[in-house]
Amino acid sequence: MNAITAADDLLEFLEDHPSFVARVHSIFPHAVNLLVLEDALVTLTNQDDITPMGLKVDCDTSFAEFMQAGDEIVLDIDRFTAANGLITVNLRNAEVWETRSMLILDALPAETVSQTRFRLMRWLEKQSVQGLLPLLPRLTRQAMSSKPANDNLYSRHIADDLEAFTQAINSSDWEPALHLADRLIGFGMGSTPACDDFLAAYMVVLRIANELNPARFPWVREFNDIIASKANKRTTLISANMLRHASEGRVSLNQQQLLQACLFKSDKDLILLAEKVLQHGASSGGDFLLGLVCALEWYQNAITEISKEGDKTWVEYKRLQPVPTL
Amino acid sequence: MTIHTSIKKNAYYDSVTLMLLSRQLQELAGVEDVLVGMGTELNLDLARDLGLETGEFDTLTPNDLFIAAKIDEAQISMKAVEDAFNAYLNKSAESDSDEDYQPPSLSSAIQALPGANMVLVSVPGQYAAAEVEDALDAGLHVMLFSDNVPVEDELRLKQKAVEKGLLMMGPDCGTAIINGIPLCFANAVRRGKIGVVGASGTGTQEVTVQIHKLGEGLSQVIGTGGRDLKEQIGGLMMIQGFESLIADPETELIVLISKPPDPSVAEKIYQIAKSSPKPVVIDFIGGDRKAIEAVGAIPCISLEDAAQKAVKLLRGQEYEDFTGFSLPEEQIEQIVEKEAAKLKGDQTELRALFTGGTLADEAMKLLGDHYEIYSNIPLSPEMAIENLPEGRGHICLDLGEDEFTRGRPHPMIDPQTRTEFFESHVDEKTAVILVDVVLGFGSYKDPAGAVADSVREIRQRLSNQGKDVVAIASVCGTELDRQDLNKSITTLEAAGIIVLPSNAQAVRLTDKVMQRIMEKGAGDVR
Amino acid sequence: MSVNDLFKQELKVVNLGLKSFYSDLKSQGVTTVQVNWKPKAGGKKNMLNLLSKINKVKQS
Repeated sequence: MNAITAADDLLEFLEDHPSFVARVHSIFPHAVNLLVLEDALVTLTNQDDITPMGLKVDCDTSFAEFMQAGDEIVLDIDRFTAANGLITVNLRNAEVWETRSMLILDALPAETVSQTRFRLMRWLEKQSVQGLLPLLPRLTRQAMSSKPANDNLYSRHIADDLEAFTQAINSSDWEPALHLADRLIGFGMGSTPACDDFLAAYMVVLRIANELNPARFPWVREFNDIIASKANKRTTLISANMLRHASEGRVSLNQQQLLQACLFKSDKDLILLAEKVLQHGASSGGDFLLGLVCALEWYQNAITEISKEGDKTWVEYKRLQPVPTL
Repeated sequence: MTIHTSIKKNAYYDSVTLMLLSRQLQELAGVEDVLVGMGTELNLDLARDLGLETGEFDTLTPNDLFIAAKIDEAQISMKAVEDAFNAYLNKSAESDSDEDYQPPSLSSAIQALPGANMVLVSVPGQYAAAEVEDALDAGLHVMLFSDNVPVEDELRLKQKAVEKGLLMMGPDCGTAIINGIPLCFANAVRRGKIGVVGASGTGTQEVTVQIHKLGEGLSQVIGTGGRDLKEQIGGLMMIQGFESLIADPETELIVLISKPPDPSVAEKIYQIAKSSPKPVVIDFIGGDRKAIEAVGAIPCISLEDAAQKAVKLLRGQEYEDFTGFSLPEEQIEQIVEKEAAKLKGDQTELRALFTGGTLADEAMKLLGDHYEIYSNIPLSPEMAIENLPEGRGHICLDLGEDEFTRGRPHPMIDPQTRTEFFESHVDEKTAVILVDVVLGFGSYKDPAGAVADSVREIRQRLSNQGKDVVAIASVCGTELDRQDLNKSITTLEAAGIIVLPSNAQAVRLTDKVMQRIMEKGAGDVR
Repeated sequence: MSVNDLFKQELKVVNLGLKSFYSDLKSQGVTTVQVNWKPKAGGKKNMLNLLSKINKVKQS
C-alpha cells in the first residue's frame, strides 16, 4: 500500500531512527497503532483523521486482515515492511503534513476570535449531545434553548471539576488549574477518556498563545509538560500520546485546520471543519470541541488584555517575533 | 444485587463501539447499574462512588477495559453480561466489513466504481479545479457545486470538457437532473419530454417544479454554473447542453434559463436556437424580448411563465404571457383586502428574505421598478443594502449570497440565517414579509416549519403592540419531494401565511398588498 | 463518451465533498461512492523534499 500523507514529526523520527523495529500495539477498523520506544505510538489510518506521528494510507480493506497485535514492522523513511512479509507501505510519494504549520500565519485579533467562538458555540449547541457536550451551557455560562440535557453519568460526575478548571484557567491561576487537572486526566468514556480530549484542546490553545507571546504566558510550557507527564501514568497509552502531542501544539489534521480557522487567517468554512472534528470517535470530537470553545474564552480575553495594556498590539507583537522553530 | 467486575486487559476498542456497548449493557434485564470504561484512576474512583468496586480494581491499569456491574443474579449472570459484551463486539467487527468503503482519493474511487460516469465535486473552491481536471482526464462528466473557482480555471476546464464531449456543469452549479436523477439541490419531478439548460440554480428548480405541476415532465436538466454566459467563458456549457438536447431523442422541447448573457454569448445562443428543429423557450430573466422572437424562440416574463409556455407549446396549445394568478381575480382581491386590513397606519415596509438567488432576482425585477428596495442584489448601486437609512425602507435580501454564507451553511440547507434575519429585521414598521420555501434534495428537512415558526414568533411579538403582519410565501417543491409540498403548504397556512403557487404570483400578490396599503393612505409606501 | 451517450447510460456517481449529496443519491438507489476527501496536506513539500531527506539520511 502507499502512504498518501505523512506527518512531519514522524518523518523526523524515521530520519533519526533508521530501520527501527516497531510492534503492532492495537488495531481498529480504520487505524492501527505501532509501538515505538517505550510509550510512543505511530498511527496508520486509511479513513480517519491523520494524527501527529501518523500516516494516511490508501489501503482499502481493514488493517485487521493482515496485522495483529504483537507483529513486528520495520520502519524506514521510505517504507515500512512487515516482518511477516505480508505488507509494505511505500512512503516515497507521500505529501508532508506540517504538524505545526499554522504558527507561521497571521494571528487574528480578539474580536474576530470572539465572533468565531460564538458561532462555533451556537452550532455546537445544536449537535446531538454525547460525552461531555451536555455541559456546554454550564461551562460557557449560556442560557440554553429548550433542548433536553440528555446528559450521562460521566458528565454529571465531572461537571463541577470541569467548571472549576475552566474558571481557574480563565483567571490564569495556573497552579490551581494544575491541581484541578488531576481530577480530570483519564476520566471519562472512551479509549481516549473524554476529559483528555477536553484537556487536549486547552493544551494546544495555550501552547499557541505561548508561542505567539512567550513573555506573556511563560507558565504554559511547564503547565503542559506537567499534564503530559501525569498523563503517562494516569490514562491510556493512546490518550497519553495525544496529550503529549497537544502539549507541543500538535493535533490531528482536522483539529489543526479548525484551530487555524479560529485563530489565524483561513479561508475555509468554519462549520465544515467543525463537523469533521465532531465526527471523530463517539464523543472524542465533541469533547475536544467543548474544550476548544472553553479555551477560546480564555484566549480571547488574554489577548484583549494585552491590547488594552497599550503594549504593542497582539498582531504587531506577533509580527516582530521570529518564526518559532520546531 | 451483587457487584462484579469483568476485565479485558490491554483492550483497544474504538470509542463508538464502547459507547454503544455501554448503552446495550445498561438495557439488559437484571442489570441495575453498569459502568464501562478504561481503568484509569479517575474512572475507577467513579466506579467506587457508584458502589461498583470489587477487589479486582487493584489489578487494573489504564490500558485495561473494565465492566463494573451491579446485577440481580435472579435475572442475569455476570457471564451473560460478558457474553453480551463479546457478542456485540463480534457483531460490530462483522458489520465493519459491510460498512460503506470510502476511498481516499478520486482515482481510487474510480477504480472502486467500474462504469463511473459522473463526478460530483463540492470540495472547497481552491482545491476543486485540480479534482475536476483529474475527472475530465479520466473521461468522466462533472458537476461542480463548489464556488470560488478562478475564472481562468473554469475556462480551461470547460474547453477541455467540450473537446472531449463531456459535461462540466459549474462552478457554482447547484441544480441538475440527469437521466431523471436529481443532483445536489433539485426537486423530485416526473420524467418527460422537456429539456432544460439553466445557469441559475433555484431558477431551474422553479421551472422544473412548475412544469411538473402542470402535468408534464423533464427529460434532462443540465446546469451550467452562474458564470457560463459571461463573455470570458462564452457560454461553453449552455451551448454544449443546448446542442445535446437538440440531439436527444427523448427531448421534444427545450427551455433555456439564465440572467441576461453578455451580448456576444447571447448571439451565439440565438443562432443555435434559430436553426433548432425543436421549439425553444428562452427565459433570459429580464432579457431582450425582440431578439429572442426574431430567431423564432419564445421569450418569457417570469420563471413560471417559461414553464407555462413550454407546456402549452408541447401540447400544441395557444400561449400568452402569464401575468396573473391561478385563483380567480375576485378571490385575490378579497385576500388583498383582508390582509391589508390587518395593518396599522405606520406599517409600510417590505421585508423580502430569500434563500434562492434566482427567486430573489425575480422578485427584484418585478418589484424594483415600483418601489425603492434596498438589497444585496440591488438594481442600482445607490440601493445597496449598506445605504439603508437607519434601518428604514424596503428590504429584499438574497441570503444565499457570499456575504451571508461565510462560515455558515447556505440558508437552503440550514434555516438559521433566515431565522436570525426574521428576528433582527422584522419589526413594528413591517407591513409585508415575502419568502421562498425551497423543498427537494439538498434542502433542509422542514423549511416550511422553520418559516412558520419564525412568522408565528413575529406575530406574537407584534400582537403585544396590538399589531399584526402580512406574510406571503411560495413553495418550490412537488408532492414527490421528501418535505412534501402539501404538508409544507399546510404548515405555512397554519401560521397565517398566504401561500401562492409560484414565486412570480407571490411577488405579484405582495405588490398588490403594498399598493393597497398606499391607497389606504397609510403613509408613503414608496 | 459524449453527453448524449451519458443520457443512455445508468448514472454512476463519485461524490467528492458534502456527504449529504452522497446520502441523497444512495436513498434514490443510485450507484455511488463517497470519497473520504482531505485537502492535500501542506501542498508545498512533496516527493522532492522527501527524497532530499532520504539522501541526507544516507549520507550521514
